[in-house]
Amino acid sequence: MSLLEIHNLHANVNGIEILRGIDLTIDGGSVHSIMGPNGSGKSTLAKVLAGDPVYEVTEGTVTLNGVDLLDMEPDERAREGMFMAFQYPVEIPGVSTKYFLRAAVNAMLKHRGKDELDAVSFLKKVKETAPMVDLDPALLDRAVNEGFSGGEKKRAEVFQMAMLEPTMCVLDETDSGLDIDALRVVANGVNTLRNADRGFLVITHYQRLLEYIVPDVVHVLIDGRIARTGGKELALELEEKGYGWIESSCDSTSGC
Amino acid sequence: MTRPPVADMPTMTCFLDTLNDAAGSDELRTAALTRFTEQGWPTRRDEAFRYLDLRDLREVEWQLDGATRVETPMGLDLPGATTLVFVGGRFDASASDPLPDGVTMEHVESTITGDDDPFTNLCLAANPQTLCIRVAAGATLDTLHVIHEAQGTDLLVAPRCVIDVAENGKVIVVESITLEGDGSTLLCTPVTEIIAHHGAHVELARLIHGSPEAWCCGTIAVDAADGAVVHASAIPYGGAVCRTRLDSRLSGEKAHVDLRGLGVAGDDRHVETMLKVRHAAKNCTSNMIFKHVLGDSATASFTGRIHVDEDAFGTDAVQMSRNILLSPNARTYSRPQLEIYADDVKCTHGSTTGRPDEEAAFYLRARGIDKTTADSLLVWAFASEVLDELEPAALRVEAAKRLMDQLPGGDALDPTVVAPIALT
Repeated sequence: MSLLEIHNLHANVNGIEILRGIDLTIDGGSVHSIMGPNGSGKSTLAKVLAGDPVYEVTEGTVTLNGVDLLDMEPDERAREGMFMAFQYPVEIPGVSTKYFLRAAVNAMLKHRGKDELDAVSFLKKVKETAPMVDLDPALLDRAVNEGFSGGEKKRAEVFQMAMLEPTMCVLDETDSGLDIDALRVVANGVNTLRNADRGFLVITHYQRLLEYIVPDVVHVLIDGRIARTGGKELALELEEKGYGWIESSCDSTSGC
Repeated sequence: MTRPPVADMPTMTCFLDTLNDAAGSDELRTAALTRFTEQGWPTRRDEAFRYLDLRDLREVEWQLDGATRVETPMGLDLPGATTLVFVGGRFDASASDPLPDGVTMEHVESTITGDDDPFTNLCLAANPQTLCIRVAAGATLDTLHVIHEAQGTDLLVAPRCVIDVAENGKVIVVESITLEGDGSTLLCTPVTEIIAHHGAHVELARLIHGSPEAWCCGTIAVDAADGAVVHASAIPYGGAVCRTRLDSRLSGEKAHVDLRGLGVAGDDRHVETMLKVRHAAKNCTSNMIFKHVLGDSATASFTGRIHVDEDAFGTDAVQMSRNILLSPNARTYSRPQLEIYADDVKCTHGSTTGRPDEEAAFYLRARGIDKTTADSLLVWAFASEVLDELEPAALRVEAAKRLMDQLPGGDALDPTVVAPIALT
């Protein structure tokens, strides 16, 4: 049994089919990357996995550690170990980041049958974790994501990931809007979190991120289906030839 | 406008006799009674009562006596505050702290409430004694916690308070009103007048909790002289109907008023708020913000009026009404009214009504927080803009606790986090 198993996944938004039969298996300890042109369904896949109610799954199955993921509410999925780093983290005025994060961490711990953290041990964990993504802990005194710069938001997402210790991490275009330095910081954070049990699905437009987070497998998503799968060299090939190369080969073979 | 004459209603005739007897030879009270009788009960044709049906009140033979303390008091914990207890509008010295200097029970004329509101007239006619809080020039009075409780049958409770703060004086007053109707209608008409002289600073918060039969239809009237700062808040979170008028006048240069409020209602309760700021002097600022959180079939109406006199240059007035509807059957009505007769002024107003933000709720849930907690957290965040401004600081947590009790899933939340208390 693999960590994440996706079979023939179809999903709609507003009645329009975006995912048209995705098959994907991710084992613990491996990093998969999904690349693809705009509108191919990359972010839709991430949000469907996280349980965004805007998307409707019409066909297919997804299991996490053998458990039916699609049957679960978004918060249950998170507690089962699914984590999605948002492409556009939501600003929530009035909700303290610390309070929110402590509630989230404790929801995880409770689910795993462990003791919840009191304020002191929570802060200790924050202090230990924040340097990993070079995050200024003062940001946590603000409301959730409120007034964060683009880079701070993405770093905060990876910081949350580190705090919540998920088993399956989906990064939805975490590199978008980052300068080279911030990209390196975020990638280092992700690399620190890599271990033998944890799986990663890294969604990106550009090969650049994959220089820092080196994937085991690269998939190309076109028109709601995985059109090609290869090793990390596939990303380089795409960078050189563009997506048109795969799109045209798809058309000629009718393979996707 | 024709209103049904009060004197023609059989139950009212008895009640008017009772009021008349109670007023005796007190000219202030008899004059108010005359105004009330002449004006009659408003109907929904009256603009100010468009969303509030008063027919239930017209049928009651109101009693002025017989109020007892309530079974479930609000019990605000405000350390260091001087507590004054009123039962059925009457001072209960045995349950209160000794009266501080400047605080007296009197019967004084009303100078700033106006005479067009029927509930204010009822209050002035029925009120036996007025709590007068006078702060001397430059003095700061300890926080006063004025507790109003009333339990009984067909009760009319008419508390009055006058807060008069001399030059550069300062006072914080908290009014907590708890009403229990014993299965019959109970009407409370609290009227508080704030007169803030040059440079004075007054904080007033009124929290209202009533049983499902209780009506609370009150007024807070403010007059702010030059350089005075007045913050007045109304927090209704219970009762059949909570109607609050916050009526303020900026009469001296560079005065500032903040009128804030937060109403939480479920079932078929109604929250009504009428805020009014009159800018009668130059370079004054005012800020109105009122929020509602409504569930079930609850309704709320908000009327916010900004009036800028012809020579009130440099006015800066902000008005905002925000509503969250937790149920498809809940309704809000929002009426901004701006009357501006001066040039060179800044007046902004806005009104929003919606469901809790689904995108934000998804974000919270994607981190493992369950739906009920996520929704309550968002409602609480919504409320904090009003609660975080309350004085004294201890009141923020106390008010949050009581509001949380009204929210689904609220008990999963920690209200202490509402106050800006660092987790250290």
